[in-house]
Amino acid sequence: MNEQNILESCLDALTQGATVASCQQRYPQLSEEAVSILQAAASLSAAQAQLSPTPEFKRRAHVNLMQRIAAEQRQSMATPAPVVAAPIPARQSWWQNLVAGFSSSKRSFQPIAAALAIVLTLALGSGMVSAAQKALPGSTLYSVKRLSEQTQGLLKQDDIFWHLDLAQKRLDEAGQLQEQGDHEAATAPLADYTETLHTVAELLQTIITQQQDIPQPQRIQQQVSDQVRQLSQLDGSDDSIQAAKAVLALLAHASSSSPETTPMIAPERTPVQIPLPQPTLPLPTVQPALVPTEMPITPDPTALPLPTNMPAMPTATPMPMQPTVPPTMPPASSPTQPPVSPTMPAMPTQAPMPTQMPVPTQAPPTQAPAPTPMPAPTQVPAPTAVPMPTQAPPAPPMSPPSMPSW
Amino acid sequence: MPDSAAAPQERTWVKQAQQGDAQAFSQLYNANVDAIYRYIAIRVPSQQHAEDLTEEVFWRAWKAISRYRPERPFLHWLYRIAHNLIINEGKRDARHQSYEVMAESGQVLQDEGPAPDSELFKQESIQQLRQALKTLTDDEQTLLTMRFFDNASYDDIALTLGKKPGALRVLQHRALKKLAIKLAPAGGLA
Repeated sequence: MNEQNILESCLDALTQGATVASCQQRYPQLSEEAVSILQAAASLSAAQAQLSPTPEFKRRAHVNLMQRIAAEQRQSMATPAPVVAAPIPARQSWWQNLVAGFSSSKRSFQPIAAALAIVLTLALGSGMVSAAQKALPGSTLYSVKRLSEQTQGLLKQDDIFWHLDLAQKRLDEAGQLQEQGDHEAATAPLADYTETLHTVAELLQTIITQQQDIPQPQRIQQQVSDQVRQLSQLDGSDDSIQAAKAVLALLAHASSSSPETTPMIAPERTPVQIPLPQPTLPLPTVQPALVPTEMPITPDPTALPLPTNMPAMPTATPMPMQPTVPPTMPPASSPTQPPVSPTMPAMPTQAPMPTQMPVPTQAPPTQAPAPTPMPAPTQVPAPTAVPMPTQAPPAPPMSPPSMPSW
Repeated sequence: MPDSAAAPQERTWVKQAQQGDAQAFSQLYNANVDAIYRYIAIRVPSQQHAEDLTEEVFWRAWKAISRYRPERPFLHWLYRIAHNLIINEGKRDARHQSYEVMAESGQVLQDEGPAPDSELFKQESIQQLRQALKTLTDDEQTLLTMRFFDNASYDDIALTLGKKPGALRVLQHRALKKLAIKLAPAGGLA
């Protein structure tokens, strides 16, 4: 074996955890130059372990990324685009494609899928949908159940309580499956539960980052605590418990870090004090008009720029938050925010007053926030032009690099 | 060492993300952010810039994910985006020059606050390595970081760099030799 081959062998060994010394011991004939090359390679391996992103950065970048994606998805939902945008595997059945369309909250295929799915749900009849609610993974009706959920999910993506209810369903399914002895089948709903709790955590994180009030934190805490207790009775639920405890930790953090005068976690409130849908976003306000592009929208120049404390992503239902708050809930006594009459409707055309100047983090530097250009009736004010309430500015504007296509 | 194709779980996430599932993409972020950060951080002088570029890599990945083909590891596709970003950034403005000025003056990836002695030694070592790496070509830097940070195979690196795998051994030898010469006075990290 010549020195080149030995060097190659040693370099391969280094990537597997070997050391320069062990190579020298094995191949004492290695030249000084070869050893220095090995040391250079070992330096790289050593540096790898020393370069790690901070948890704070990872968390912040994650939130920023999800916010940018959410903004893009809102824009995508509001903008007409070719149906071919969503790549759907051809081998899926038609209803699976439909479900995939629902999951595809980014693509412009979604509004069409949503409308179709509502028609489908109506066609199936409430009886079948109702019967499907008790279906477990593996049964035929389970697909109907998930389809029904995803139909609702399209309208309630930012509703924490909807996600918690969804998580509860997965938890109940896992429990029933384990009771039946099918522990393997129970892993799927448990994994879905974990994912759903991650979503809840991200929604909470977004609310905290935007310094908004967490709606009904005690109710969230109670629900999640109950779920933790339920999870502790199940096998293979460690990840799920961790996800649930992460939500509880977020709530505790928000509660402890909020000054009394301006609590980050809001007391239990009347429904109208929960952040209302952003009225300038072009989601339909009348169910089931789910094709927003057909709605003529008169942009209100005073509505932009939006306040940085932008409400959560709106849902398409006229009163999306009402079901989440019991009407018997007593209004909070807040000297600065007197409760508004519950009969007051959400005014879709009324823009919220900006409480502070937005800090544009996404907008191109040449784009002034106001006045906004008057879009054509079928056009929609692009949400990406709205400053996102990110904590840290994203990377400076860069010209697009060539994007790999493999 | 990553497989030459995306892992099953990763494939699922990719497939879901390609259908617009942000939560699936969130999983991909969590699984790959450390590696992408390291890949960038060894090549740019400031922590802030490494963070900005890392975030940008994932945003661009989301925008282009429909073009990803899962025959290769997702991480290596991200490497390629990062590689292009770093090159593009270097060419785009005069900041590339200022990086070297910053690097010379030691303003490199130093966290806030005083570092303990051992931490300082690590930072100095990293800084020496970064300065040495900067004398290499972009392809050489990518080759070495993929090879010794991620234990990537020559086939995967070849795909990222658009070169033939056979040529990479020669390129690696030349790059390591240059790196060894640059690191020799400092003794390297090993």
